[in-house]
Amino acid sequence: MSTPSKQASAHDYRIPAKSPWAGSWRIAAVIGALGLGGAAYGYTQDADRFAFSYLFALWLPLSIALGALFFVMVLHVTKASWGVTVRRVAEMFMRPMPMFAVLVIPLVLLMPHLFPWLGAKHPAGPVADTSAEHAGHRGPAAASEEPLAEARGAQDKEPAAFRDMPYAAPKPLEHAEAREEQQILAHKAIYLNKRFFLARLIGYLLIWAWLAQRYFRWSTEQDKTRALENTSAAQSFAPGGLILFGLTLTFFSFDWFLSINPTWYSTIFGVQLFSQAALAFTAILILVTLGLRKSGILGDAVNVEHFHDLGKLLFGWIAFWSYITFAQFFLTWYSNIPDEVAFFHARWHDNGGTWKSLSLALVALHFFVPFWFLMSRNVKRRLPLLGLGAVCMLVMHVLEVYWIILPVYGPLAFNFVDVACAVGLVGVYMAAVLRGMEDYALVPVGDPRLDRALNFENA
Amino acid sequence: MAYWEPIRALGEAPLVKPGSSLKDVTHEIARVTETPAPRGWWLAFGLASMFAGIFALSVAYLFYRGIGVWGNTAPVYWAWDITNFVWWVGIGHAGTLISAILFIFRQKWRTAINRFAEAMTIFAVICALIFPGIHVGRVWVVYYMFPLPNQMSLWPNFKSPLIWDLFAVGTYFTVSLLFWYTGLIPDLATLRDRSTNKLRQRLYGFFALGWRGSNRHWRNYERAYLILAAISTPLVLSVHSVVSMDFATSVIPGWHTTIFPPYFVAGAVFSGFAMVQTVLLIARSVFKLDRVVLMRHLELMNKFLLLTSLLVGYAYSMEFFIAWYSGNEYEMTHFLHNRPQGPYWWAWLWMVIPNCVFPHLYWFKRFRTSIPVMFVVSILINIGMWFERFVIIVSSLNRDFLPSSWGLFRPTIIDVSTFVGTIGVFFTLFLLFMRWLPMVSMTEIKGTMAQADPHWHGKDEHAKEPAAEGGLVPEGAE
Repeated sequence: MSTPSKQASAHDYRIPAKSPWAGSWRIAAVIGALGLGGAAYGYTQDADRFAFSYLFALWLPLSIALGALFFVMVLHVTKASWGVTVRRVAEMFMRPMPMFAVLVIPLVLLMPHLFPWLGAKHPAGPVADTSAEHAGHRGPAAASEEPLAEARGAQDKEPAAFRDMPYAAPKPLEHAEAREEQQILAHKAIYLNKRFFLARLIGYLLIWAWLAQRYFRWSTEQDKTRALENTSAAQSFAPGGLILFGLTLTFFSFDWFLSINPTWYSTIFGVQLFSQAALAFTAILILVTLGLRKSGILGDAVNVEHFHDLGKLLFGWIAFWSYITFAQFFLTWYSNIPDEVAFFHARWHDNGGTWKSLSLALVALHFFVPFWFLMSRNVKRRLPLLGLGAVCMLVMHVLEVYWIILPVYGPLAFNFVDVACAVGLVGVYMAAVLRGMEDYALVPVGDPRLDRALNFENA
Repeated sequence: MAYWEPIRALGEAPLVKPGSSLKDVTHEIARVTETPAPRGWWLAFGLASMFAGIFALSVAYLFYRGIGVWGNTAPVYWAWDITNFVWWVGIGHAGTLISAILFIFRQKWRTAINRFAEAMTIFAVICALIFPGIHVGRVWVVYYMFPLPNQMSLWPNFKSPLIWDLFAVGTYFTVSLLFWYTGLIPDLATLRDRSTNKLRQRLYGFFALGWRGSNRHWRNYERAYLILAAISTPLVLSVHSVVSMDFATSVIPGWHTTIFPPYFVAGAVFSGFAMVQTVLLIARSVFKLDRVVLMRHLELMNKFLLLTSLLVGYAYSMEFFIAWYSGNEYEMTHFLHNRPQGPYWWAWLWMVIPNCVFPHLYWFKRFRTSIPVMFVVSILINIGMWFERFVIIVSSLNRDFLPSSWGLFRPTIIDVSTFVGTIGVFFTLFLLFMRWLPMVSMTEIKGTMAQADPHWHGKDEHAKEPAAEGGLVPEGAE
């Protein structure tokens, strides 16, 4: 028990010039640029598909940046000491927040392709329009894909509400449904209109960028000054920051992910998106710190005790995500109210049943397997196994975001533009993160609780 | 300065009154069970047992006359009974949250309040379970609630959330009891070793299960405690989630909303913390526990109340916003009209103002550290959380889909006396607990003291008397 306490001074925790990490941002930037090039080509082929793919791709880095912001603020609000040594890496992930103001521009321009309240018509929604209109709307690219068009045709004949009935949906009811949808959209117009929507978007981005910059500055200044005031300020600002974070994330999720479904609603949806962000960020934090540790940059500052705690956190978020997602699914399924259950119909029977396998995969690999896998203390302390768990969660995060957004567009059909957008946006974001890592110590060396974190042990 | 010492400039402070020795802590806590009860205890006990008597009479009358003695009416078939049930189960939640979740999150300040809160959990769940038991109407077939085999040609309906509820609350009660008892064992041994008469020695000795404080005992104890904490953690979430499903699996506007499970859990923790605080403040002043229950603990509890108040407020706002956003006329009528402007508008205000307005006083240190303020606010929160369940249950039912069947619920005197009676039952049990068991965990609180740190080399003149402490020598205190 009486091992001498570890000191931070022996190490500066910076990326050495010869390390493979130095300059790695260029690789990410090149990959990102190639991805964005592919995405631009995809846009010329099918603007609708591009809009959906880009929305999916944008949320991948944004969810991670928001997860990082949340993690940093929670460490401060709880005055936790164990996580001090990994906090700087988290700060690196939240730092590029302002770049999303640029990355979101294509979506802003393509809003009429995404949102039914701006006139977009999605095949998965209960909009009753004819196949001919559809083909025209989707453009020549969609019409040429035979299986897709076929699945959509079947969709039009049989809207969600009549899925389980033994007879075909009567035409007048289809029209009534479309009319009701129009009424609901008219009712929401006061909230879902272009001007207010964009004003809110600017608000979210400003708040996030402001919070991220504030926390980044407090932390990096302290590297030189070691001022306790910075910690005090970060701590006392954290509760307010977390409230702002929670509200903006919730309404962002309503604006961008709820409102692409014309009539669906769910009170828990904001919490679900939050759980995704927290989980995905914890997974990437584990992977990046594992990599940095392997290159010897973090010395012994992040050791198996910290990974054990990060593993517990990952496990906890898996449980939380499962709980929230299950609550949303279960209550919707059990009550079976048409407006609500349409969301799960689109991911099960509708769209030609193409999303079924992914829905099942989420249950198996986003919850069941990693939950039991990461439960053991041994697994969390064996770093390769922990890394495997984190990789699994990242892959499933990507698939879950895909599963939330793309069924609104139509049946599950692989399209290169999905990959191009995802690679492009994640690449550009990672380039910014990696570039930032070269300028600062990767452990907050001025933090007053650093010694405690260095000497931290799981009892 | 050594890294394990509190950094005072950042507001860190020790968790036990500075200058306390291990023996002071043992003495302050064990003393309560060893000296005659103060007059305050007798006053409270008399009052509480009187209300417990009122409860017994009300239930006897209920059994004699039937459910008609309550105000339950069409269409409000569920009223105070289920409101009280949910309220009590919710109060029980803080116990497991404090003892299990805060333990797993290494929140050492929990040691001053965890024993207390665990006991509260058990008594609150007892009070909660009374209500489904007496609401069945035909009490002589109350065992139908259990999943008995088919001899009665009546299988329990496993599709019904009410059956899940029975399992959830039953499991919760069992695990909470085990957890509470496991934590008590070393302290019972301390009481046994301090006893000066044979009867006490025998009784505490029997329940201490032969605890000698050996290294092996401690190893097994710590492991059992950790495992029980891990088992209890999902229970904190599951119990109130299942309780929320009693409502949310239906299609009733006001009941069916997807945020219900986490919302109910947050509300339960909120009301549980408020109740812990109410009771703790009384106990602290009656038994003078200010060496172990510091202002710092109370302040941290107030921060927790603020956090859970915000979560509950978030859930209220989401319900409100999404009801409008949905464009669904039933949702809108219920949330935007019937609740705030309908016949129970005053109950809605009782829900919103105590739960979402008063806790915001705790943004200010002045109020966070004022005992009168926290006493009043904790009681207001208890009332507010009761009204939350009342609003959810009664105001969602009183105007159903068929306007011709609308009706108002009015409580009868028996409704009131049954509810107030359970408060008497709760406090009777609680006061007995305070008198006969160590109401703060001596062992765990010592673990947070400087003397428990392996690097501690200070002087403690009492540390050389391990026998008097039930063998509780902290590691490294040479």
